[in-house]
Order: sequence, then structure tokens, then C-alpha cells
Amino acid sequence: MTGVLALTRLEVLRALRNRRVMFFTILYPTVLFLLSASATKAGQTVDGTNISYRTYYLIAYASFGALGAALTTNAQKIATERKEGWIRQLRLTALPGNGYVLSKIASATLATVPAIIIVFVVGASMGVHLSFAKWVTAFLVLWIGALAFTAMGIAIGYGVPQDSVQMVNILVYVAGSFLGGQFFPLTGALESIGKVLPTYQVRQLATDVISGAHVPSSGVAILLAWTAGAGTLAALMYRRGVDAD
Amino acid sequence: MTTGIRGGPQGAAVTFENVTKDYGQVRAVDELSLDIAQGRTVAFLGPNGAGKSTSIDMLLGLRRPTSGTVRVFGKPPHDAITAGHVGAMLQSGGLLSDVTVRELVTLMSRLHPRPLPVDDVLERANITEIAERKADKLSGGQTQRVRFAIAIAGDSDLIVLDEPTTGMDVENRQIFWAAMKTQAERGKTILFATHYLEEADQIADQVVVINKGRLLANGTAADIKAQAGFQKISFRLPGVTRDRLLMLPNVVSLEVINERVLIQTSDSDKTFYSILDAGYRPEEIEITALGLEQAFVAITQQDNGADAPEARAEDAR
Repeated sequence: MTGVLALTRLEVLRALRNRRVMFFTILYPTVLFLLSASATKAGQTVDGTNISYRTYYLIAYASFGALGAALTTNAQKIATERKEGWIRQLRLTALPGNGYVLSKIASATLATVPAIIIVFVVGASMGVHLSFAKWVTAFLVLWIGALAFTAMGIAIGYGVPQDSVQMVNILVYVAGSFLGGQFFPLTGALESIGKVLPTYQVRQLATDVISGAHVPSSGVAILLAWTAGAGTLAALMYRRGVDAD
Repeated sequence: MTTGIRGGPQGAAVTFENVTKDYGQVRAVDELSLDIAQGRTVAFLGPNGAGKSTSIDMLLGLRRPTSGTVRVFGKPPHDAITAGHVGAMLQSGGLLSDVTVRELVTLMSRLHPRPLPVDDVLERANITEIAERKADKLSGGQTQRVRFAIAIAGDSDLIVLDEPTTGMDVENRQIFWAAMKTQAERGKTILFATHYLEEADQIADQVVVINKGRLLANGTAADIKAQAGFQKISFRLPGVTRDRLLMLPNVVSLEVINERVLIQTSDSDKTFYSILDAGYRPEEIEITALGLEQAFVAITQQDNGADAPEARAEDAR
């Protein structure tokens, strides 16, 4: 266990030093949030709901940052580190066989924390008022909801060849966010498609929780199914990958 | 040869017993049996695709043999690694990005059951002055030294090095082997694969030659040279043909280039007296011992000539 901790600590240090990681998990979502939120008037609500645009974008971009933090860095790192033999090198240590992937899960789970918090802080400074309990609940929904994306990152890292990871990442990241309503509220056909995606459901769940709306069990079920499915796929890809390393 | 380290059967550090490894149709390692005693410095030689890397991978538990068993200090390789008996330096691959050399070595030392002080490891691997540099921004030689530091970051009993000096200049190579000798003097068993035969000749006290996945020779460098055909005779003899010299005793190989004859022989005295007895009076005579490199080439060529061309293990990986 100390080995996994030592490796996780180094993973976190690496993430903090990496400009690309900082860009995708912190700067990019924050700037997009600022741009989107400033374009709306305080108090202006999303059509057919009682939530303001600013609150909507707060949750949308916090979930966008969490998605980036959980998915993109791990997928890229796992693929690269497998290709470059780092995983083989770790197999020559007393680190438990699953220590590498555990440290990746741990570091992704830690990396989503600042991604969410920073958008929250910026949102609060722009006049989004929520009770403390609602801030905490929204944070927990986004944070735990990001596990689905952590699992996807691991599945992509082990399952996709290193030179294609970037492409798959961008597809999942951008298309998932677009159809999940991360960039703007969806209506009509787009929303119908988006509803089957975890990006939509995690954002909607957090939004419902703070607006006091009814939380549909179908939404929770869809998110759980994605988490379980991606988790299973990650485990399969991981096992296949370990045999090939 | 017993050095009092925790040992397996007969105190062997490494045992291969009838180990075979197939990749599909290709046999990379063929019924390899081999013992490496504790405390030895052993060179693993073989042409590309001979099965060296596959053998080392099996020894490190990175690949499973198709049949046969590999034991490291009497244990399955993975158990020996978990117990901290083995430190290894792999042939290829980049180091981790966004970390310093010191952080990387610190991690590897923490991952070892018997960690060594990081500053000592850095010094032994001669990388103290690059300790604060980023691990993925180093020259080839520096990278190799960091990899070596990773192999010695814990107090392992066996150190395995797959082509450790590739990419190093002459000076770094000397520094590297000096560090290696210190490890050997501390009672470590060292196993290294190399392409540089002079390194094997100077450093190893046991040389293992593998060709086409089979054990071809196993002994001291002197044994290998003897096995290869100990000496080389060269002389000028106008008007001679190859056919007339083939009858000579102890000849391993024979070449006639213009008027110059080159003979490899397992007994230069007998061969040379026979030349004289046959009535020849050669000129410009030279009789020399083979170097390990020539010996290596000679025995692998003999082996390759011994059976018809077949599926080579080349590029099996």
C-alpha cells in the first residue's frame, strides 16, 4: 500500500507540473465559464426552468473540467507509459500488480477536485448564491459522477493504440460535452440524444439537486449504468493490456 | 562460490530448467537449461534474435515459458522480485515525464522492500549532478545511468541488465563498469546481455552464449575461446588450393584469399606441423589466439552451418 501511495503522490506532482493537464482541467473550463456566464444577465433563467444561466453554466463547466481531469490525462498517460515500457519497469518492483492502475484512479479522483472547486469559486464571485449544503451536494455529485470518466480514461488508455488516443479522447471529450449540455442548454432532438450520455446525466443530476427539482431515477440509472459499463470495460482492457505488457 | 546470501537449491541465483518459449510458430527459446551461481558476473551473448531478451524477460517474470521452469533464488521469478531479490535495467523505453531524476530514483527506492539511501544510489550510478534534471530530458548515456540507478535503488541480490551500455560513450562505459564492479565486490550476482564482446571478455567471469534459442556455450571467456577453435594461423603459400589443405587435422575453418591462407584451428601445433609434414613451406607465418569476439562469431557460425536454414527466432518480439 505504501508503494501505491508513493506512486500516487508522484502522479499528483506530475499533474501539477504539466501545463497541458493544467490547461484542460483548470484554465480551459474556467475561461469558457467566464465567457458564457458574462454573456448572460444575472438572474436570467434558462427557458422552462427556475435556474439562472449563470448557475447552469457553473455546473456545466465544473462537470466539463471534471471530465477533462478524469478522462484525458489518464488515457494519454497510460497509453504512453505502456508504450514506453514504464509499466514493464514497474512490474520489476514490489509494487502490487494492480498498483499502477490504482494510482491512476486515485490521482484522477484527486485531479477532479480542483477542476470543480475553481469553477465554483469563480461562479460564487460572479454572484451565484447557493446554500453551503447545496455547494457540497453539487460538488459530491460531480466528483463521484466523474468516476464514469475515470473508468473510460483507463479503458481508452489500455484499449486504444497510443497514436490514436488523442483522437478518441477529443471525440469523447468534445462530443460528450456538446451532447451533454456542457456548452449550452440543449433542446429538442439534441437533448433526446444527450439524455443517454453520462455527461448529460451527471450535469443534470447536479443541476436538479441545487434547483430542488425532482431527481428522475431514470437519470441516476443511466449514469450508474455508464459507470458500471465503463468500469467493466476498463477492467477488461486492463487485463488484456497487462497480459500484453 | 557460496556467499552466504539467502539461497535457492545449490545456492543458485538463477536456474533455467528445460525452458522453451514459442511465439506462435516461432521457437524463440529451445530447451534452455542453465545455472548461475550466486556472486558471479555473467555475460549473456548471442546474435540479434537469439533469444537473449526473451530469456531475460522470462527470468524477470515478464513472460511465461511455454514449458519448463525458471527459478530465481529458488522461487518463481515474480515472487523473487516481490521479495526484493532482483533489480533490473530494461533495454528500452523512456523514463517518466514531469519528474526529476531524484524523484524517480526516490520512488523506485520506496518501491523496494530493502530501500537504499537515495543519495548513495545517485552517487553509485554517477548521476548526482543531474539529479534535479527532468528524467525525460536526458541524453542517451545519462538515461542509461538513470536506468542503472533504478536497478540498484534497493538492496537486491541479483542485478539484471539488458544491454546496459548501449548509447554510452567510451568514458561513460568505463564509469559504468567501475560502478558495476563495486556491486560485484559487494557480493551481488550480476547478469548482463551485451553486444560489446570486449565488455564480456573483461568483466564477466562466466559467459553464456545463446544462438537460435539454444545454449551454445557456457563457461569462462577462455573456455569459449577454446571451444571456438583456439587459434588462428595465417600464412602465404603461392599456388595452393583450398582442397589440398582441407585434409589437415584440427581445422575449424579455412579460407584462401589470393595466396593467403587463413585457418582457424583447435590445435595450432598439430595443424601447423601437418602443413610442414605435407611438404609445404609457407611464408609470413602468423599464429594468434582468437579474441572473444572472433570466438563468438566462430561458434555461432558453426552452429548456424550445423543445420539447414530454419525459422529463426529473429524479430519474434
